[in-house]
Amino acid sequence: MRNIIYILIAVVFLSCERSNPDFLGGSLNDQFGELLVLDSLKSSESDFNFLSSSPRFFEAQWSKNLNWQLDVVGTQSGATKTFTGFSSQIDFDNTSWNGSANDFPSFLTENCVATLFLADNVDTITMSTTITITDLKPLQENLILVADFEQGMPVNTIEFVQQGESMTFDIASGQAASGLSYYAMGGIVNWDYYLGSIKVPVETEEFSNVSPLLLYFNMAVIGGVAGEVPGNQFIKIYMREDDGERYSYELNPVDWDSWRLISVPYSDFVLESDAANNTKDPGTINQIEIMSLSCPSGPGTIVGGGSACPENMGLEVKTNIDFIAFSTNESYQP
Amino acid sequence: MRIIAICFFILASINVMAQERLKKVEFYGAAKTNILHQSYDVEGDTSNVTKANYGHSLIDLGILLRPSANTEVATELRIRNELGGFWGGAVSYGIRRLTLKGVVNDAIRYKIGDIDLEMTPYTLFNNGYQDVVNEATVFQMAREVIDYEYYFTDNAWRQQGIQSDFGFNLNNETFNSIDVNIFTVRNRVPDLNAALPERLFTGGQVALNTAYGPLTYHSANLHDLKNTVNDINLYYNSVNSLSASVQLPEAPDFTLDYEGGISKANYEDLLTKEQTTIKDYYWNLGLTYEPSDKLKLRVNAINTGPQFRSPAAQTIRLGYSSSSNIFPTIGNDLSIRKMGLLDYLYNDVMYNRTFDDNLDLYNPAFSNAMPYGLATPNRKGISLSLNDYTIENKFKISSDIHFISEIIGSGTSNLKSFFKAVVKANYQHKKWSVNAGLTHENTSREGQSIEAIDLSTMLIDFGLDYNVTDKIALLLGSKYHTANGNELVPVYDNYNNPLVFEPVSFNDNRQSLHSLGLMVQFSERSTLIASASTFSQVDVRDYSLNQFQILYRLNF
Repeated sequence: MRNIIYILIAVVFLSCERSNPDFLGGSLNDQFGELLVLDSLKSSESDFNFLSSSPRFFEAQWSKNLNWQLDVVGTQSGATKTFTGFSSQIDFDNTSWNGSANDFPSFLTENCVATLFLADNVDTITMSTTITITDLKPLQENLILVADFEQGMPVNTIEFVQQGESMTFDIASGQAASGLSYYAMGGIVNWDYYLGSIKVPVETEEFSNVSPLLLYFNMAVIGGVAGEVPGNQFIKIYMREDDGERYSYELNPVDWDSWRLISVPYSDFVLESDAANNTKDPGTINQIEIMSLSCPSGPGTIVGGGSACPENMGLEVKTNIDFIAFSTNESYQP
Repeated sequence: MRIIAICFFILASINVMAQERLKKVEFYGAAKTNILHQSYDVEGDTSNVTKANYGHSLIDLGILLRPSANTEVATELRIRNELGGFWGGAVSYGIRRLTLKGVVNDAIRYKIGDIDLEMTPYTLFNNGYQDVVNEATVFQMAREVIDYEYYFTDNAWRQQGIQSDFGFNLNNETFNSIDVNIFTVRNRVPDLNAALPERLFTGGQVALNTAYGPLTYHSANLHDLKNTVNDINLYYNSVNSLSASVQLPEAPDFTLDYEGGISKANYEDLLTKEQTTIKDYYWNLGLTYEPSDKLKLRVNAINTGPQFRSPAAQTIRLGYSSSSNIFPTIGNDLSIRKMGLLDYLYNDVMYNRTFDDNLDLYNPAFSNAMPYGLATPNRKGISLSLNDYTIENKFKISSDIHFISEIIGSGTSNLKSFFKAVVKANYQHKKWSVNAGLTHENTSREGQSIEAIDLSTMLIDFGLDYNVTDKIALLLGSKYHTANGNELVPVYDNYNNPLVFEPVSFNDNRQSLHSLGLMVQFSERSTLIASASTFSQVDVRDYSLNQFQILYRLNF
């Protein structure tokens, strides 16, 4: 019996294993250690050519793990790419960059300033470096660019503009979402919601086998400063298919004043016409219509009925758009 | 007055009935009056009240009913009146205890209701006070009041549920018998608003008694009961262990004992459908040398894993960082007054009664080496102890020395080392009796300034009793506590892993409590103590308290 107990004790001793981390809990160095820069911020190369396959990243090292943020800002476009993390260094693993931006606007071939922010409870450290983008990133695979307005309007585009004040339905230059040009839609129409639209023909046969869930409609949209534009201005998008079906998606309201990517799966569009086969067929889309709308200020009868929005009196609608494209499987990366 | 008269009438009536069937009904009880006057003194403080009078009188009437030879019902009824509760305005009534116990077929004993439970220091154990080494009689009397009020009996937890024990005689020379003890108790009532489900504590022991010593399996399981609220989280913790004690045949003065086990904590998030399981183990191996009744030496090795979780053994009895409603603030800026030795003995500080699934906050000034007793996670080391060494039946001394360290570092790979020494001595000569005790702890960790730790604490108890006559005694008691140095106390996350570390520092902090009392024993069951105490604390905010207490106790 005694031997059995000895054996039992030995078995219990030998059978137990314990994982052994370096220490329990958060590191004391991270909590109380002094924040020191060990290696200053630098880029893997001074010129970033996003067409080449060589990696492009930033490097720096400091004395403790903390939440850091690295912002890369285009000096001309104002485009921003942000990297964040919790570590004591940045390198290829956490700042590898493919040339995309957080949102529109996209980067141009331009100089960029990269700024690294480090902060603990006591100290804040900021480091900067400069790089030059020599070649922009290639477009995503399976992306159909419908319009970027860099070379004018797409062929056979139909524009419609209502009668109104300060009506602007035209290509404009400067501070575009992508490249240098965008399409401005706006003005004042005090008797109708509908200010105007463009109808752009498209060919999407290559998406014949793509599920509507995986086909994304992408577009850059910018409104105006609150108080200067109607708070209830909006955009309506129509997708027309070969069989006469028309699907719509409403972006309501457009109340932001910087470029923003709108990426909507085709499956989110709703049928607004009589049904033909009542099936969304991505490969049969032949036209996209982008409409600028806003509640009219009146006075007088409102086309289509409804009541006026006197608060919009004198406010000029601004629903500018840029970079209309289809992508598959994922949203466009600006 | 009317209430007392009614109670007296009921008592007398039942007593008459009881006399007729003496064995069927028995009465017992306790009465107590505790009156305290405290005054508070801080230089320049004009924003806080400086005096407080409070106390209470109570009667606990115990009734023992024996409806049959094998069944017994014990209940204790309480009437309590707060000091100043005139005309019954502050009288409260209640049932302090209700227990049904009996024997089925002369073989299986059972208890239903309020029961006291205790197993091993790793499975189910109410660890003792951390501000006590070898307390003076005048303090012991006050401590007994706390123990009685909070149902602290030795190291048992008072719980409510059902318990049963029974045994088998194996009629074998080697394997003598098997004893079984099982229980299930309700440890927490459901809280619908907080979505906290009902919590049960279930476990037991199976002991195989052999010719060489007992071999015992222990199981302690704290678990939520599903569907008692709209469940969001469910918690389950189990500790299963094996203990053995063997007398060495080659050296009969030596006894080898062992306890080892595994804990498993399971956290189930019903919203995210995620489960987190934390497991670890512990072992405790001891060798005792006991050549005679007068000498007992023991050496012990422990290893308790950093992830070892045992709520029923890791819940701290007294919240040493809690606060009291007596003089809650200090100074003209009304900052929170730090509690001290006087509060722990006399005032309304926090005592735990249910088991916490989160490791309790502890005060490193009072216990840093093993704040959760032997079940303290992340500890390994050895201890040496001398138990009750007696010289000429007058002088008795006990001592423990612990050399402990962490198993895995906290926030750094460097390990904390702990040294703890405890010495207790009692001396009795004619009308004099002296008791003294000292606990010294030292915590250290080498390393850079952000990780270095050096904390020393000391607690001294001293008591002197002089029996003027058989019934009158003068009592002198002193407690003295110091803390100096720094520590980084872990703040645990929901899974009891250290999340961050809270720096605490003690700049030669000192507190002392001195009492002088007069005890009059009117009879064996009736005692009156009047004591005057002074307490001072030297800390970030120095203050002192004076107290006068009258405590009358009657057992019947």
